[in-house]
Amino acid sequence: MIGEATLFLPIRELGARMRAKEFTPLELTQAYLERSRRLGPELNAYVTLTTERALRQAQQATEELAAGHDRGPLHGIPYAAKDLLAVAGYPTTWGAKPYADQRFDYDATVITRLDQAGAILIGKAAMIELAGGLGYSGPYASLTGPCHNPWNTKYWTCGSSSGSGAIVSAGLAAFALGSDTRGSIICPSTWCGINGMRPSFGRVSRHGVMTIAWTMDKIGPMGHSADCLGLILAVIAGHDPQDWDSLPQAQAGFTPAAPRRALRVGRVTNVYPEARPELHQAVDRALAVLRAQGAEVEDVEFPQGPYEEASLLVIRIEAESAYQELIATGRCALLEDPLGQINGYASSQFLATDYIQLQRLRLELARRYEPLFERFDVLAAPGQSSTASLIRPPEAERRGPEAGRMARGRGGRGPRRPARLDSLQPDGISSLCGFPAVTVPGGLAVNRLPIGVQFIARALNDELPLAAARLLQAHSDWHQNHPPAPYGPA
Amino acid sequence: MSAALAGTAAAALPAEALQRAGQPAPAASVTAETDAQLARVLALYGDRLTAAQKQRLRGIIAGDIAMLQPVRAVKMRNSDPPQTVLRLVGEKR
Repeated sequence: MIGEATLFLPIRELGARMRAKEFTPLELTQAYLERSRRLGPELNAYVTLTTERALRQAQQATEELAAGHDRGPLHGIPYAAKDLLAVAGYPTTWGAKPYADQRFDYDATVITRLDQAGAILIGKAAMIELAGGLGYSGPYASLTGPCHNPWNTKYWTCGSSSGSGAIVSAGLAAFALGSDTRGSIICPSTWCGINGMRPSFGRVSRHGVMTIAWTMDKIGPMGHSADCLGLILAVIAGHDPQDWDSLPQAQAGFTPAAPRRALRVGRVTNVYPEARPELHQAVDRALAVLRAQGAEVEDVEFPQGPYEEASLLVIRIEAESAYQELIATGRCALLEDPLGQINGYASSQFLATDYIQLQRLRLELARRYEPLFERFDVLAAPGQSSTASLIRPPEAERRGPEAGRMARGRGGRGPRRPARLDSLQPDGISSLCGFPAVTVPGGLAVNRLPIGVQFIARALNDELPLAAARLLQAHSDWHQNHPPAPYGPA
Repeated sequence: MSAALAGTAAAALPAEALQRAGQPAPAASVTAETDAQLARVLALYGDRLTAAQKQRLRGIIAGDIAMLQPVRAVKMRNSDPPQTVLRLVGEKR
């Protein structure tokens, strides 16, 4: 019998216990499947459990490890994949009603790579419809309904990798894959109190993955520690000739490594000006830990520019093309979210000159970061601008943020006022420029919901945010916080 | 795409909200562009849309055009290239 606490252990610890014969991959898989069947529906965490495939893989892993055939750190480790990754033999719904019965006869490259590493797929994780590609107003924009946050089920997980966040946070699988076009791994990881990574653009194959925006989409890991993220990235990264934007192997391949000198950390001071002070204080606490371990920490400002605007507009325009069939046929009316039902029509009117201007501007905006990355290995900021948001009644959610979920001024205590676009949101900046980012737990807010701390690095320096996060977690225990029972260990 | 609001995710922050965000009244040229784009959307898809959806589309388009202003304002040199370039089929990578 595997205890609940075991299901929250990081990958390396699970592997050590398997190799010490405390349990087999089959027993571990059965334990995660049982927990997923019991708690998954309460959270709306899964679209599909891939039970038959999982048990077949787990039996194989059990036999291989018993025979001394060890495929490495992920061998025998159960995981979930966001339901925009193709898996032969199972539905791949993209979280959206128009694709509820969609099936592919092949696996996404990342699924194949994880198969080869001996990892065990136990289910397809719930998500926001089309990963938000045609816009959405909140948590109800999903084929499977709002995904509930294991820390407090009245609150949302964030999107669009909603199920992936809930699954890892609630110990339903050891890790999960998500996708991130502009924040869809970083936000749910932060709000669910887990670790998440958006790798550099082009490092992880997107073959077999739903497209929102060709120049923005990334696949990345979500897990119980920064070390887990590195282990997973080492397996899923690498050149894939089937992904047109895949980097050459010399750049795409990834091996976790420690930095050769003390980390230089830039603490970003002009980020999330409206966030509650406790979110910024969490960053300061984390950086105090790093400083005590020899890191050099200095204040720095994000360069100015229309980063968020450009990020949103590139996505809007590319998504209109990606979902052209859905828009042209009017089947976008089948989407859950009223915004998603019509947004594509507006997007169809952007000018070609604006799209080219955006793509020229991206280069200029990325170059503005070069001087910063000469001075700093990583930039540190809050994981998000707030803790998880309440799941409001469906009609209030569908009216959109302007209907009441407005930003508060003066550190969150000021009067409600309409939201304004913040040009310097870290998710927009790093997504637009292809920078890697890692978010890690940074403690709990006064409302007992998780706070995150994120590290951003120069493109293709994925080892640096991971190194900062590993160093932090070697000398702190925020990543060992789990939700209260029943979604955390009893 | 994430949708934390105040962190709001892209998608979740409808462009129309930007129009109500206490920003200055749009210039006449912005209003004219909004009208022109809305007219084209309605010409193509108007028969599919309710009155409420048409009204909402106006807000979305106005927000889009507002977002475009700082993007269009950045001056480019003639040779500044876009991030999308021709890649040759058969290119050895």
